[in-house]
Amino acid sequence: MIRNIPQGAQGGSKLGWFSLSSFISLSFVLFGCGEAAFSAHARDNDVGDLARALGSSQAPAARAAHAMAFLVSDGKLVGFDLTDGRIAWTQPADVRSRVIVGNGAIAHRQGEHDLVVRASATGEVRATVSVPADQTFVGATLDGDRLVYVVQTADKRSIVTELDDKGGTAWRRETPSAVGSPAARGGLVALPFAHQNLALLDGANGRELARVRATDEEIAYARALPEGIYYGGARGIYRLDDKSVAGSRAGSSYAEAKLPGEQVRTAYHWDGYEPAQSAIGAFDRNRLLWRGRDAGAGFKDDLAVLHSYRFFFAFDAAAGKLRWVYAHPRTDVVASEDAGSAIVFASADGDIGLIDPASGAVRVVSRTGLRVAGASFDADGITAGAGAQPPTEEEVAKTLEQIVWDHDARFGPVKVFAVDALGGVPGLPVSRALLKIVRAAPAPGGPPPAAQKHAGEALVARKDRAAVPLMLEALGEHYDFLEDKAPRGVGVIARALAALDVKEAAPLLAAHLADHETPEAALKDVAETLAHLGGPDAEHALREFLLEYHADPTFLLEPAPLYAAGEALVGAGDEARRAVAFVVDDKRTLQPVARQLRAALDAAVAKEKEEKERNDKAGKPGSPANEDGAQAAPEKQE
Amino acid sequence: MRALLVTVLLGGAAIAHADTAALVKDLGDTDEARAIDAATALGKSTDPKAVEALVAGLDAGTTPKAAAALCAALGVKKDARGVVVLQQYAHHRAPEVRKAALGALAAINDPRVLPALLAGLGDSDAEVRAAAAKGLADRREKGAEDRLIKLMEHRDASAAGALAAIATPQLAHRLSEMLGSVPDPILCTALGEMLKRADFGPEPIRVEVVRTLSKVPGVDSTAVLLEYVAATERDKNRPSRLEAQKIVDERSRP
Repeated sequence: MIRNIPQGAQGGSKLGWFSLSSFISLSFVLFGCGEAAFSAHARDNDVGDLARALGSSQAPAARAAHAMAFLVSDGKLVGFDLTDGRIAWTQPADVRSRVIVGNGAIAHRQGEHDLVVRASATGEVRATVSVPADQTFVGATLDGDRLVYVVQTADKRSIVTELDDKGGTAWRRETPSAVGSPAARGGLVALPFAHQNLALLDGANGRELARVRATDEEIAYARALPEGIYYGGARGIYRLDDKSVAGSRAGSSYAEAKLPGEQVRTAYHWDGYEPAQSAIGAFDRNRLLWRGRDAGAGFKDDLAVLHSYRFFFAFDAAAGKLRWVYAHPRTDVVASEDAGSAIVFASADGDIGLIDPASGAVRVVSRTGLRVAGASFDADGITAGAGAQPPTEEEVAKTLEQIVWDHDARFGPVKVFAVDALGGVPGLPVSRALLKIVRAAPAPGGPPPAAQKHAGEALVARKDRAAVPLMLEALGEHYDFLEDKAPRGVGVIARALAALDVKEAAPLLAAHLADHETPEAALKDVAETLAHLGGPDAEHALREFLLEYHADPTFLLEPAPLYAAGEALVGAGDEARRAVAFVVDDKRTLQPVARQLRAALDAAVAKEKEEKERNDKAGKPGSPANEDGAQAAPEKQE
Repeated sequence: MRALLVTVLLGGAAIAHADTAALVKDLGDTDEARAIDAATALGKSTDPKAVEALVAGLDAGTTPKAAAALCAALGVKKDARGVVVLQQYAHHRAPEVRKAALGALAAINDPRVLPALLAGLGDSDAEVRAAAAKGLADRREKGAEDRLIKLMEHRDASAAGALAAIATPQLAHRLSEMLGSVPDPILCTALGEMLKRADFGPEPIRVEVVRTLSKVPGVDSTAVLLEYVAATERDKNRPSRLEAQKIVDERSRP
């Protein structure tokens, strides 16, 4: 049932009721793609249909009034003037959905069953629609000030309805298939349909003009932006254009943001088929902010901003490189939007802010003190302003580090993401931060194991020679129960030093190889690094290690450190090779170790023999191969 | 007669030498029990080459159980030639090997032993720490005081006996001041063990220790005081005993 209220009327007054039944018979008129809207027999991916549909979509008119934020707060809907930085109006409202923003109008679910359209300048109610109790609200959009909404009936039919600017029903369409939350732009209504399609309806009469059928994935959302209509599933964004008829990612104007790591959910849009997701919820605090280009595939300025709780990470969407990061102090950011020339956000404790998308400079517009549950924005064109200072590279690194060490237990995936982002920032302070993360003791609120693992990988990959003294200092520490010392990250540090070929690390690593407190998981890295670095200290440590543990059954599960030690010794001179030969021939040696090292010895001998023969032919002095397979226990080298 | 004695001794030595060679062979046997028996026998052997054989056995590497037996056998020898390899095995990944190595090191009179035992107090395994503490106690290593106090602060009971063994009047005073900051049972054990030492004193210090125990509530201190009273039955007028008896009597009153 629809109750329409003319503009300027007081909220809640009802001027009329209209029955919808008379519209049903009109819903199967054949136009556009040749079939009734949502017909199973309609054409899809047709160039001509799509061209006509696109031709009917006009660029939306520019906003005439100030940029606004619409805040949902404690039984109220608050209109906040972003340009003037003040609360413009407050209306009592039981808001049960995101606030939908149109041109001069906003709309939202109110209470259990109503949909209301309000004037965005005053918050006054223009129209109220009641959704019957046996129907479920799926989603809505405003095309200018015309509301299009989708409900699902108890028997799983979908009904799409458009209200005119007076609140009367303009048209109504029904289908037994699933229809997702709509998007509308300049007279064209786009709806995810039957999970695989995007149905394009003429906003003036509800006729289906064209249909896009995706061949690679489900179409779960449609989104209208000033630059165009976008749609997609879980992985990326498709721009609605003439290429959409391809149906595939490859053939369409499709883009996916390249982000480091896969720990944080990167939702491009909420699932339009899920009624629950039309409400303010988790998506609003964990999402990807993006805008499209004026034409073609890709993101505006190659920018994708991940919003997760209190944090914003801006990335070059093509290269995956971090551009800036912002951590809002203390409280979660409950809503955010990419308004094109600014990221606009609202925090749970009422802070309203703007971030310059290019530099990350932040300007807090106002601290309203309101308790904000959610917010929507009508802010295209607003900027953070010249006064906002962009963060320096060092500040970005510091912010990322703060995120990693934040005590909030919800941030596990974000911390991993922050570590990945940190890895891309150059400089010694970042290497120091990564090393600190790698060496962190397990503690509530500390870096989770996954973040430590990623930090280790980043530390190894960045090959920062300036960080060598820090790593050597870290290696100087050994476990001591009495001094509460427990060195961590020895394996990672070993790999990082191996990557940098730091020979002076050998004695320190040798001490860790001999130290029973060195975790089993680190032994392989330590042994392999010593093998890589070489030199007397490394050879001595590897030799002692191999001899000491070659018969120790605890190494049966993970013999790799013994392999590494033995294989390094094979190529390290006669005395070292004699130790390997002894181990290979010792009946007590773990069988896998004996087999592996026998093969290594044989390969080395064969190679040397080959070289010798080659050298003999060439008349050069050959390197003597040790073919005697010495059996005696090697002598101790002190 | 003398000639007969020489003949017997030479014969014995010859047998010992022949045994050593066989035992060395057994050390490398795949039968772990045989290797352990060989290590034990070498520990008991009078053959001077037995030490070298044990050291060589460890140098060549073996199973953890056999390594522990080799370490223990070297401990029996108390020979400084075993220090280097025992230092190495004091860091073996198997705790039972580390325990055996530290126990063996403790038996050897060599300046290189103390650092190894002090390091053993910081081991992650409580039994290894206990072995190190016992070794330091047996050797009456005064230089271990600070590490042993830290061990006590880390609530490790093995510190008590070792601290008692090396206690001086100054250490007794230092421990008394730790009342409340370390677990009562460990402190009571340390002070009680101190009182058991005949060489601990002078008597006013013993009285101070008894009074410290009187400040510790509960059964731990009462048990220690009762034990002290019982142990000094023959010296009834000893002031520290009188003090202990007085406290016990007071605590016995309903």
